[in-house]
Amino acid sequence: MKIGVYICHCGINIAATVDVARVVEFAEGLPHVEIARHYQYMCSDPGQDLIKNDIKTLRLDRIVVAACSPRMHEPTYRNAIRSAGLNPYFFEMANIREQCSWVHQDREEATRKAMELVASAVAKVSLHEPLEEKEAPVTPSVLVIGAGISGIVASLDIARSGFEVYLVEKSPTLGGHLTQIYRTFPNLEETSEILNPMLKELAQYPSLHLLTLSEVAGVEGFVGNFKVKLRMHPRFVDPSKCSRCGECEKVCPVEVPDEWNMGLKERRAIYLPSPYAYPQSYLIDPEHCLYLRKGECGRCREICPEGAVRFEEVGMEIEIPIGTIIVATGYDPFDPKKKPELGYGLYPNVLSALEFERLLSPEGPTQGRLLIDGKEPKSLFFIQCVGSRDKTVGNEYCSRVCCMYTAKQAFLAKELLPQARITICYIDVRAFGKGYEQFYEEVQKKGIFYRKGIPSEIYQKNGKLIVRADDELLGEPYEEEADLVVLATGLTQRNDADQLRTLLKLSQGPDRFYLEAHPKLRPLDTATDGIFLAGTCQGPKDISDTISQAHGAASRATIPLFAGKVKIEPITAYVDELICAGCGLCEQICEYRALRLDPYRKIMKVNEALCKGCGACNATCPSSAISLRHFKTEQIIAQVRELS
Amino acid sequence: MGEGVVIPEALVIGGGIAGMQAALDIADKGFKVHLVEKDPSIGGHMAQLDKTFPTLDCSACIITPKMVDTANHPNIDLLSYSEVIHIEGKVGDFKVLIRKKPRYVDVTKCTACADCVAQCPVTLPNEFDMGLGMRKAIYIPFPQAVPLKYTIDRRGVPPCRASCPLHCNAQGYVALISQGKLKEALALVRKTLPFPGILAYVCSHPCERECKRIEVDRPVRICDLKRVLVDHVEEPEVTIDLLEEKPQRVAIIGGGPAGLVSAFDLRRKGYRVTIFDSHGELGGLLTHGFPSYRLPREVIRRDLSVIERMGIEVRLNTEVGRDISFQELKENYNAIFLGVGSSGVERIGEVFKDLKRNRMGMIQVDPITLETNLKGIFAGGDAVMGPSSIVEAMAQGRRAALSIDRYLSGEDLRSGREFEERFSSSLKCDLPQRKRDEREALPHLIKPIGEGLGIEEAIEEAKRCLSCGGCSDCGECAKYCQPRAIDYDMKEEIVELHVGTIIVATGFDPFDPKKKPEFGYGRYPNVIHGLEMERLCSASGPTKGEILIQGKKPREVVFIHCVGSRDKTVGNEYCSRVCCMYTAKQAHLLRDKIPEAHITVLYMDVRAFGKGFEEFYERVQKEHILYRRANPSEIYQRNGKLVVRGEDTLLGEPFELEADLVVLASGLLPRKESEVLRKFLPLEISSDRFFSEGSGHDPIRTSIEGVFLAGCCEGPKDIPDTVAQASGAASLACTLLAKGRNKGVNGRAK
Repeated sequence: MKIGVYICHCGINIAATVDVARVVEFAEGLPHVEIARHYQYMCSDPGQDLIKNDIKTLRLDRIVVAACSPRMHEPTYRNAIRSAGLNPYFFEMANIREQCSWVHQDREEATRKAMELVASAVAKVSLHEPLEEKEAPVTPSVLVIGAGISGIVASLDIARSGFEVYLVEKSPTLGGHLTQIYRTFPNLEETSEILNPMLKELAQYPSLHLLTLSEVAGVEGFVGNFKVKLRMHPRFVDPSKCSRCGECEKVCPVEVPDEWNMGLKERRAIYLPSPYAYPQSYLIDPEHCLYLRKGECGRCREICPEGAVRFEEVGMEIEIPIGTIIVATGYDPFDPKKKPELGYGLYPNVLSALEFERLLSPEGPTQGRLLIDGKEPKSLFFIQCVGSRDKTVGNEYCSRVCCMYTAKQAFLAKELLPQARITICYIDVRAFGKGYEQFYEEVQKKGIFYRKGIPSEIYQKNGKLIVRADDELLGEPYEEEADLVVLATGLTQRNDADQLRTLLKLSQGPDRFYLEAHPKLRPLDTATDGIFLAGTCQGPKDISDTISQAHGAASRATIPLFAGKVKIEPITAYVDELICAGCGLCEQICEYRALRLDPYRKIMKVNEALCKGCGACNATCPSSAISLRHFKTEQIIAQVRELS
Repeated sequence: MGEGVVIPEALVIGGGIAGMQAALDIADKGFKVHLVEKDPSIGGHMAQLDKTFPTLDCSACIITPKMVDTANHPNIDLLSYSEVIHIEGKVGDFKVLIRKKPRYVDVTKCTACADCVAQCPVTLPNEFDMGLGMRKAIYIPFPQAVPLKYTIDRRGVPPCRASCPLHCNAQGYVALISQGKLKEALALVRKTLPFPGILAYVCSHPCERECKRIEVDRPVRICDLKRVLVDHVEEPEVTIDLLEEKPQRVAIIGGGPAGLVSAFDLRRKGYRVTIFDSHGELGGLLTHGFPSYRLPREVIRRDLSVIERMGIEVRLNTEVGRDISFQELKENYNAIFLGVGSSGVERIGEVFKDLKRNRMGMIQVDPITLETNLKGIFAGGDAVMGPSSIVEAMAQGRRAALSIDRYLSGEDLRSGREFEERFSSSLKCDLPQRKRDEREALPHLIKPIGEGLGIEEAIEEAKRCLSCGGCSDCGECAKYCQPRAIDYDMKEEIVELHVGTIIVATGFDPFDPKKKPEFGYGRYPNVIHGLEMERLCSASGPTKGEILIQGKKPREVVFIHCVGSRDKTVGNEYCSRVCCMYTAKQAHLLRDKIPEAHITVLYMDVRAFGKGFEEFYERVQKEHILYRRANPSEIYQRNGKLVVRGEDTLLGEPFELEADLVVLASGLLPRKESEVLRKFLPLEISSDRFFSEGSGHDPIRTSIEGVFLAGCCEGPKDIPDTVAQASGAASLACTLLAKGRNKGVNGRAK
C-alpha cells in the first residue's frame, strides 16, 4: 500500500493558522505514506495535477487530502483520482479548515490538531475498499407543487421541453397571490397581462396535467424514481356540466368571507372562487356547506339546471411515477394581528397590504374605488416593515417586496385621490431592483411624504385614527390623524409548510423558509437530490425574481430527465446475512424506507437506490449485522484511534 | 434550413458565474454549448471576490470547482480570450463569428510551468488585482485560472519603436536593461541596428520625444541606455549570418550612413556588394561631420569593422566618374544605390546624366521604393532628403536595400510597405496607475557628450519605462520555454458557428469613482473602491490578505455607500443592489483582520433585502461597526490624514471624520463592450443602460426571440440571483434546443 498525503494552504485560510510544512513532515512518518506534499490551492488544476502525477509515477493506491470540508471538494478530488485510474473511493479528506484553522487561533495547537486529523484520515483510508457507482433510469416527468406564478412558469418550461408535468395546486385557483394583486411595480403592469398568456399556453400541452384542489399525500423513492401519492379533493360539482349560471349561489344560505378578496367580501358555500379558478366551475366548500356538514339544505342541487351538483363525490388518491420535484408553494402574508399596537382587526380602517390590493382592483369588492365606510379617505398612512425586520414577532428578515409594493400602492392611491395626504413610514427604502429607484423617485415627486421611523402605536380618538411615531430625521415625535392605515405586511413561510417539509425531507432556515442546497451556487437545489425550489417558498422575492428562479428550477429539474439516467452513490448499507437475526429494528429506524425484511428468510434486505448512507441502521443493529460501506466499524475505529 | 428547424447547439457570451452556470445546465442536458470569454480565464468578477455575503463562503473556493467543471465538460466548447464579432440569422439558426485573439502561446504545448515568467522583463499592473499588484507581460491572471495557460499581453507597437525610423525595439532593450540583462539587450538592439555604437552616440532619438513617460515627468533616456550597452557590454567579435550567396552584384556609391546600412542589409541577403567612396575612409558624414569628442573614432571603427568581415568589397578613394565610369558601373553591377550625401548630388548628376532632380536639387525618387527615374538605380539619405539625421539616413539605406532585393528577385517593389515609415502609435498607457513625479524639462536634442550612465544607474533609469506595448518582444520567454509554446507569429483566428439560441451573460463594469472627484479617488492612494478592497482582503491578493495601506494597517476606516449609484449627477439613478451588503461584509472582514480599527459606514438606506442579509447586517452592527445615515460631501487631506466631511442626516449635523482608509462602495455599470455587441445583436436597453428584459416581468427573455439574458448584464444582482437567472436562461434555451433534438435535425449533440 502506498498512500499520498496532500496538505492544502487554501491561500492563507489554512496556512495562516496551521504550519503546513510541519504537517507534511509529520505525515511522511505515518505508516504506508509514500509521499506528503503541500500546495497553495490543492483544488486548483495544478494542485490536482500534482496528485494525478504522483498516482502515476509513484504508483500510489490511496490518497488523503487535508483541506476544506469534503462537502466542498470531495467530488473534485474523487474525479481527479478517477481520471488518474484509481478507484475514487480510495480517498479520504481531512478537514483542517472548518474543523481546525477556522476555529482555532493558537498556531501550535492548530498544527497539532491538523496532524491528528491527517493521521486519522490516513488510518481510515488504509482500510478503504473500492466501490462502484451505479446508474438508475429516470422517469421523464416532473411534479410541480403549487400553481402560483413560479409553479406555472416552471411547468411551462418543462412542458415546452417535451416532458410530462403534474402541476398540483391545493386551492381551486391558479395563479396564487399574483391574481390578488392588481398592478405590479415598477411598471404598473396589470398582473392579468402577465398571467393570461401563460394560462393560455398551459392548456396547449397535453403533457401538462393541471390538478387543482389536490395535494401531495406521500412521496417515496429517489431522484429519477419517485413515487408520489396525490390526494384529490372532491369539488362536489361536475365541472363538465357546470355552466356557471350562478343560480346555485343565489339560493345558498351560507355566507362566509371570500378568501380571494381577503374577506372584504362574502361568498357562498357554493361558489366560483375567482376568475382564475381551474376548471372554471363552481364548487362547494365542504367546511361550510350545510348539506355536507349536517345533511340539511341541498337547495343548490335542486336548482341546478344542469344537474351538476354531486354531494356524493368523494376524493381520491392516485400514485404517479415522477422523475423530479419542484416545490413552489409560495408564502402566507404576515398576520398583522401579531402587532396589536397597530390596531389591525380592531379598527376597520387599518388594512393589510393584500386587502388594500383588493380595494384597488377593479375586480375587487369595491370595483377599484378607494372607499372606507363609503367615503374617500383624506389622509392615508402606509406603514412599512410590518412583520419584517422585527425580532419581536420572530421575523428578523426583510420581506424584500414591501417597500416597492407600498410605493406602488401609494402611487395608485394618489392617482385615485389626488387631494389626499399620503404618508409612508419607513426604516430604509429598499428600492433595489430594475427601475425601482426611479419609481421611488417618481412616487416622491407625486407629493407622497416619506417619513423615516415606524409608528409605535395606532389608536382611535374621537372616531379618528391617530398614528403616533418618531420622525427619526427630525428627531421629533409626532401624532397625525389618518382615515386609512395600510400595513405593509411581510411575507412568511406558509402555515402548512411543515407538512410538506416532512414529506419531502426538506430543511428550513431560521426564517422558516425552505433551505437551498448552497446559498450561493445552488440556490434552486435542495439537500435532497431531485427536489428543487422555486419562488417565495425559498424566501421572499418579487415577481421578476420569482419568474427568473422558476425558469431556473425548471432547468435544474429537467437535467436528469434530459440525461435519462442518474448516478447512485455506492456508500450504502449492507447486511451480513449470517449474523442478521431479522429483528427488524433497523427497518423501523430507516428514514428512507430502504430496508425491508425478507418475510421468509427473516433477513433484512437493503434497497441500494433508496439508501442514503446515513448509518442509522448501523448504529441500531444490536448484533452489528448491518454495516455501511465506506464507514465500516473497523474503518471508523481506526479513524477514531488516531484522535486520542 | 427549413422553417422551425433548430440547431441543437447554444452560444453563451461571457464566462463569469452566470455564463458558466448557464453553460453547465445546458451541457448537462446533453446539448453542445459554445462558451465565449473575452479574458484569458473564465471566472469573471466573482473570482476576484474574497468572501461572499452573507454566509462568508470563500468565493474562490466555491467558484473554482465550477470553472474546472466548465472547462472539463465534454459538451462545452470553451473559447477563452475570444470575442463575438458578428451575429446574424434568427432563432433556431444564428450564424456567429468569433475572433480568437492570439495568446502568442500555444495552449496545446503550454504546461503553465511559469519558467517564462521569471524571464519576462516587463512588469504591468495586474487587472485581476485591480492594479494593486503587478504581473508580467506573459501571465496567467490568477493561480486558479481556467484554462491554466499563459498569455502574452501584446498591445501593439509602442510609441518609441513606432517613431524610430529604423523601428528599433527600444522598449525591448530598455526592459532587458531593467533586469540587468545587458548582453541580451545589446543582442536585441543588433536585430534592427547594424551599427548600434554610432547610433548610441549620435542618434537624434525621436523615440524620446514620443515616450509616454513625458506625460508623467520626463522621457526615459532611451538613447543613453543604448550607449550603456555599447560602452559596457563586452561582446565577442560580431559575426553576421549571411543568406545563401547570390550572383547579383550591387554597387553602393557613398560609404555614409545610408550607404553603409544598405550595403549591410544587401550583403546579409547574399548579394555581392561593393562600396565606392571618394574618401580615404568609410563613414561619410559620421567621420567628417562629427568631431571625435561627439562620436569617438573608436566607436565608428568598431561598428564598421563588420563591413569587411561580411565580405563587402570596399573601394576607397574611388570617385565615380573619375576612377570608375558610369558605363563600367552599369556593366558590372545589377543595381546601384546612390548614397552620396547632399554635397555629392551635384557631382553625381554630372556622371548620371539623365538623373532627375527635385526642386531642392536633390535626387528625385519614388517615395516608397526610393527608385530613381533610372531603372535599377536607387538613392537614399541626404542625397534625397537634403540634410537630415543619421538615423533617418540609415532608414533610407535600409528601405533602398529592400527595394533592390525585390528588384533583383523580380518581385513587386511596393506591396506591404506601409509600416516602414515612422508612424505614431495609438497605444495609450494607463498613466494614473503610476506615481506621478514632478515634471521635468524636455530633453535637449543634441547634448554634449558626457560620461554616460553607469550600469546601476542605467538599470534604475530603465525601470522608469511604462511598457506601453505590454510585451516588449524581447524574446526571452521563447528562449526559456522548454515545450516551445511561445509563438510570436500567432495570428487571430475567426471561427464561424451556427447555434440555435444565444445567452448573453456579459456581466458588469465597476463604476469608476474618478467621476466623483470630491471623493479624491485617484488622488489619494488610501481612497480605494469596493473591488480593490476585495483584492486587499483576499488571501490570493497583492497583500496576501493583509489590509495594508502604504505598508501600514489602517486604524480608522470609513466606508461610503452608493458611490455611482442612486446618483443622478453621474447619470446612474438606479441602485446597484449589492453594495450595501458587500460593504457590510467588507466591514466585517476588516473587523476580523484589524480588531482595534474604528470602522464607520456612511449609508443612505441599508438595503439588506436578501436571504440572511438583514441578519448579517445586524451581526455587523454588533461588531462595533458604526452605521451613520449620512451625506458625505467631500474627502480631503489634512496633516497627511484623510478627512471625510459630510452631514449626519439623523442628527441633522455636519461632521468631519478622520480616516486612514476610505472604501468607496462603487456601483455596477453596464459593460462598455455591450454597445459593440448591440451593433450586431440589437438588444434593447433600459433607462439604466443595462440590457432590457422582454415583457411580462420575465427578466430572462429579450425582444429578440431565442436570445436570453443572464446575470448582471440585465441589471446589478448578487450571486444567487445571478445563478438562478442563469439556470433560468438555460431552461428557456433548452426548451428551444429540445425542439431541435426532437425533430432530430442534427441529432443529439454529443
